[in-house]
Amino acid sequence: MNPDPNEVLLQESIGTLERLAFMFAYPDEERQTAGPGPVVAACVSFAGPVSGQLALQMSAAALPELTANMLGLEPDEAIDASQQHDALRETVNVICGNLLPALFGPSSVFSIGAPQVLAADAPGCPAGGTPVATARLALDTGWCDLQLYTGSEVDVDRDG
Amino acid sequence: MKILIVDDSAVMRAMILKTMRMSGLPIGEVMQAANGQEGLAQLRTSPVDLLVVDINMPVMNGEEMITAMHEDPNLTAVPTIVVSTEGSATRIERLMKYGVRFIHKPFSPEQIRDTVKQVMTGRGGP
Repeated sequence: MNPDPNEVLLQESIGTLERLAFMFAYPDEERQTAGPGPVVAACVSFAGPVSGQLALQMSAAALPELTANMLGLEPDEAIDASQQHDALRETVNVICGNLLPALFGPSSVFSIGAPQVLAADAPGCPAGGTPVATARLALDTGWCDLQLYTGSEVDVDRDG
Repeated sequence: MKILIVDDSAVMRAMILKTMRMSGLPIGEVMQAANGQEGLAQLRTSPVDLLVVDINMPVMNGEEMITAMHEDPNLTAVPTIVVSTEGSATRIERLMKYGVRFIHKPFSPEQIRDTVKQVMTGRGGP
């Protein structure tokens, strides 16, 4: 039986957050919608054997920790908005880069676009559709959700 | 050791540099560029001991930069490490034919240290 795309997205997201930003994330299976408080979001497009987008939303409260951990800053060191947006873009980019071969196999060649931070009032990434995989995570300082959108249902590579 | 780090993310450039310093590597002068075109221009005016380059970048990506380096006799021997989210074995194998080493993001200090040592001791490629 092929692995569940939701489980692959969950595990790649948890692993990337831990190794990239030393943030421990846990499956938040109870939560059905976005978590509380202000939200920051980013998305990245990819093209290859399957094309689509990976979207990430995170509680704004968690973004300073993500950024500081990636940069190895001390708690009293200042972080500007540009650094936080850069860290958010790089996070969704790295998750996507790890997710695609895990889902579709290491021999699949994908072109990953430039990740984008979405404005607070943006319609989202993408404009519509139903995600083929979703991960809802709890963080120590907030929450993080990911959705994978593709043009068709994901058929996970057994050896991926 | 004089290095050039090429990545369109300033945060990632800072992460790579910090990780290299944490690894105990003898880092001297550090140059940075946000894409392959800027990186090539810097390499042509200021030689380095080690190049660390991403693949997915605007203007000129890392694969294009490495290809251009191997068409320039002055740049073919620059020890090069690709640090990228790239997961395609096909593309990685294509790049490794140029003698570069590959580190997948996210990376650990140990991976950086070991790979730099391999590249700097001439065990960088096939």
